[in-house]
Amino acid sequence: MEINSKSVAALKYAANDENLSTQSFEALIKLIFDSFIVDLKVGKLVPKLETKNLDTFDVPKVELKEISASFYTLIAEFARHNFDTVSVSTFLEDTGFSNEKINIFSQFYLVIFFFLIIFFLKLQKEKREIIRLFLSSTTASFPHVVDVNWRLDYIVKENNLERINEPVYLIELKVEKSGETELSKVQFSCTVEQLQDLVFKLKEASKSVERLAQI
Amino acid sequence: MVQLHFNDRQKETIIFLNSFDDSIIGEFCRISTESIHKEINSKTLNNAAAKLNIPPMQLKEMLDLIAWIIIEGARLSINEKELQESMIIVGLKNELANVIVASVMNNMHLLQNYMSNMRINTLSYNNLEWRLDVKLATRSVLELLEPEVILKFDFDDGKNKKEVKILQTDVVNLNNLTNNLEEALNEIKSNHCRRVFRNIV
Repeated sequence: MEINSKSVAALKYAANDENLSTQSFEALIKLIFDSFIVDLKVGKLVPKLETKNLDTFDVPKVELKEISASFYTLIAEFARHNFDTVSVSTFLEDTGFSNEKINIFSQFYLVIFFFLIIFFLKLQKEKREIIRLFLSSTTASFPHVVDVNWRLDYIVKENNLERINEPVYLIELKVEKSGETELSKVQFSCTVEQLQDLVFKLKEASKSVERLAQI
Repeated sequence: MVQLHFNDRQKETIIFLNSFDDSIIGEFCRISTESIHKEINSKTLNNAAAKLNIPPMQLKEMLDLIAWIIIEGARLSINEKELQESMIIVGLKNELANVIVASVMNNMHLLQNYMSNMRINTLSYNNLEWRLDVKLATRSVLELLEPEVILKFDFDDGKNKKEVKILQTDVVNLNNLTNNLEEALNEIKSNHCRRVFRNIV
């Protein structure tokens, strides 16, 4: 796990109870974890940290910013490596955090909303998964097909040729490109035979995905 | 009932065609077909006009008319009977009409081929290749297990321009795509479509 030396220094600073009291630590961690808001409309993760909330802490501003930044880095690295609670606790211990602070952090890392063990087991992955989902959207990829529209036309005549009488399909694929919020379109036409060929190949692809899932 | 509609000037020229016998009209048809590909040499035109004892402008008009009949016939996909009738109605002699009809029918297929190259061409699907991948890790996230299908579309826009588009989907979207397109394919067999195809001729 690679964390740069500046962040490590900031973490050690935060671990020291004289610099950051346990209550302040708890409040700061709560703020940071809550900033991972899931925007339901877009279906995406939108991190938002209200900087005015940071004013309430009795830690000098510069150090506070560095600490917050280092926590974000830490959370990203934990999520990236898919650390479970034990590994998280071990790492925090090595950095010098007190047991109290470790517990607080783990709690938020796991997000215990309910005290029932069943819910605990289900939710323990939730925030971590959300963060992983957010991180995976930053990867490079081809434009991603999300929807399809089709139209069946019948060509009756054109100005150069009458009596054509041919059916034709117009297909429109809605495509999501990484880094763009608007969906773009890929439009093309095809004859009945071409569409049959296309559908046959797509069916082959989905069958092989099914077979993969059964292995 | 498809018909060729001649304007007044063309009708006059038709009447003038009647003064020639069918072998000469056959020659005219041959020259007209050639003129569609390549313009007639004016010297040849003048020589021919002199031999037939008519002004060259008039010969040109007759040849142009026959060429027009050939092209319009191909455009309308006219059949023999309709073509014959159209010409007889404006006063052309029966035997001469037969010669011209034969010439039009011979050339129809070739001409329609040419005309289909002038059609409006949208980007048309040619071929699809697909690949199934499993995403194991990215720089930002390790330990993934995500299946992914890469689609390579080959498109052709009819003017020798080929386009290749590479897209990807996940399992859910692939199924959605397949189901929707299958539904589109089944639409053609529906009663509504069958009725339309049958009745628009």
